[in-house]
Amino acid sequence: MRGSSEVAMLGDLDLAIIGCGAIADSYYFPVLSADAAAREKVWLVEPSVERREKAAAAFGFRRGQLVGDVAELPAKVTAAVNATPSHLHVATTLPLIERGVSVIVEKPLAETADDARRLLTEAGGRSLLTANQYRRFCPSYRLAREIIAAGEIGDVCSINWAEGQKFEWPTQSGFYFRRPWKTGRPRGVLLDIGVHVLDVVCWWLNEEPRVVSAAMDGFGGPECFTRAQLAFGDVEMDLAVSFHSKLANGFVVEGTKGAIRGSVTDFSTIEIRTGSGGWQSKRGPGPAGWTDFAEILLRNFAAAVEGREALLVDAASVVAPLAAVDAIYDAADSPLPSYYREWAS
Amino acid sequence: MTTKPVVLVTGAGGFIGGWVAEALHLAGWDVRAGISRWMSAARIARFPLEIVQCNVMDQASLDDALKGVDVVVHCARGPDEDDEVAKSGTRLLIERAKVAGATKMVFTSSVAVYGDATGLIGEDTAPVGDMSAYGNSKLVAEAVCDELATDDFPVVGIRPTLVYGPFSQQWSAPYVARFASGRWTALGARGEGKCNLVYVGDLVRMIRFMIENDTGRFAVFNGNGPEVPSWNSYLERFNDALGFPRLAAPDPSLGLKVALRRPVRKVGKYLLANHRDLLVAVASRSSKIKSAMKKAEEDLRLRPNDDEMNRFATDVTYSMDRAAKIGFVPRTSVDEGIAMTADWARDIGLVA
Repeated sequence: MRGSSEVAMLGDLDLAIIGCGAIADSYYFPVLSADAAAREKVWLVEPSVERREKAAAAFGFRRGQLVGDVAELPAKVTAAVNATPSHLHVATTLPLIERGVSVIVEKPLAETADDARRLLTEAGGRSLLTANQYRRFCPSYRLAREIIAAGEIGDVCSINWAEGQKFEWPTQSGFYFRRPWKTGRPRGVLLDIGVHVLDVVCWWLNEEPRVVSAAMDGFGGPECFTRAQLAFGDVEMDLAVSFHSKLANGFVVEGTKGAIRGSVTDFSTIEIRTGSGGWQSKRGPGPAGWTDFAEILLRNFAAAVEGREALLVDAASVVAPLAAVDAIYDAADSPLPSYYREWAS
Repeated sequence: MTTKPVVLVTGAGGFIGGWVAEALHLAGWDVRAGISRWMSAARIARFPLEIVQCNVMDQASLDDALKGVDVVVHCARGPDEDDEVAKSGTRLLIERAKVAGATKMVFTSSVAVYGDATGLIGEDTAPVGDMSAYGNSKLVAEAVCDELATDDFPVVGIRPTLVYGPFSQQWSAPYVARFASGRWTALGARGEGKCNLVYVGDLVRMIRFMIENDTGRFAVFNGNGPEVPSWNSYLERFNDALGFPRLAAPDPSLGLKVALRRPVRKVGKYLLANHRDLLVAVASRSSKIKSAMKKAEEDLRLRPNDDEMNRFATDVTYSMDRAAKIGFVPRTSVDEGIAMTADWARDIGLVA
């Protein structure tokens, strides 16, 4: 899938990284710094002098290419990665679009479908937009999509997906939990893990879901647990996502002629059962490390900006999962559980 | 106190601190939830309460967190093997709380301060046997509290027993996983020791009681529940409440199996502590090795260890007489506590 590896990772592009936080540190910087040519073409845009200098020192980026604001970037920078917190994605992507800069926006593209549509409208004809929905690069998820599309398990009837882990993202600022919420209600695990899951399922089925029922445990703050029943046409989906603890961390896709199951953390392999046979393990092609996906994303983006390839994740395709997220938040109940009721004044 | 005080909860990212912050917030109190890292804030952030960074080892952080605070509930703790947080952190917290004008502190200690003492344990019972690092750190912190408490800044230490309930990662969640696995059997004669449980809501009520009542310059109280069942009784009732099949009959070779796993646990613990990167590297190179390591870890996690076997058989009861004398009595029966814990396990997807 790396495809164009004979061409330099960034082609002839100069690339700005907007924001030197945890995602830039752990996902983009290691890949860019490991490639000598790419490393020279990276510009860091970060208001904190300390943070940008620390990142440059740690990853070997050029000290003359550190700025505090997008407005300070030279005109030759025509591509960017927006690695800011998600509530800043719209505000920080729009100035880039105005300059004609093409952008990889960290997931989610925006916090609401309306905001995502706004970015798409503004970008129209001026910039390319993509989002880091990295699971679409995972061999396991790609293989599942191919199996579904080929009808190997017949018509899909139902999907059961449970994914959770204790929240351990090294967020420095607390933005995850406390920020001005313009979305009607604070958003937690569904906007984080859930947007990955819904992106994958919308991508598999090429359909936008309807919410049958939903419940979550946000009581005025962002929720840590969401359970939803969805319908993608005739396909029923039971979704559970959690920041409290590990769940089954797997998915099962039941079809009329068979089934697929997989672990959400195994990016290589899924299992398939067809007819009356047993489960068989199948490995999807391509690299399956997390930072491999950063390289795939960056290579494809550079190639798309230079007109050599189509985007693997067109930003327009992530609107449907965001609309699903919106619909779940709109529909969800949050009753106070039995164990809190005795305390409510 | 006639009006509800402003309360700073240290360690609000943890199980007990989180419960104190959530429950007092729901009860209409003005709560400031102190966390050391934002990473630990996910659970309490579900409520619209004030969250502040509060590192008890850092004066500037404490001074910010303590502004306008009347009462401190001190639940923060450091690593068990390092008592610096207990010693220096508790000292700094009390000193800065006094400067900020706070008027009282409640400190969550532990019955681990009694070591291996058995029988009926009152607050004046002397420690017996080897003290665990955890118990020692709590004793150290209690000594600091006693030293620095004054009539104008009284301190109360509560020594909870086994605190169970929603979000307990020690006495509730692991057993849900064990029962769900089907590998946990009844304990038989090995499980007739006393299970000193306190429902987390009763512990929060006790903390609130201590805030609202005069307890003198410095005092410590055991924090136990209203009944002390056997381990067999607790585990069987919990299993039933979760809707699992009855526990299988006691395994006569359980003792032998525990002994056979002893070296595996020791080696695993050593490797995790000293060679974690190597383990990760080995696992990433071979899916078979990764699968074998996962199965071994799961097997150890889902079956009892030596410490647990000792605990399940120990005859010890922590007296609540001292708390009762000043008017506090826990009220949540084991069945009620288990029912709420089972509701929680279902609510967050631990069981279907």
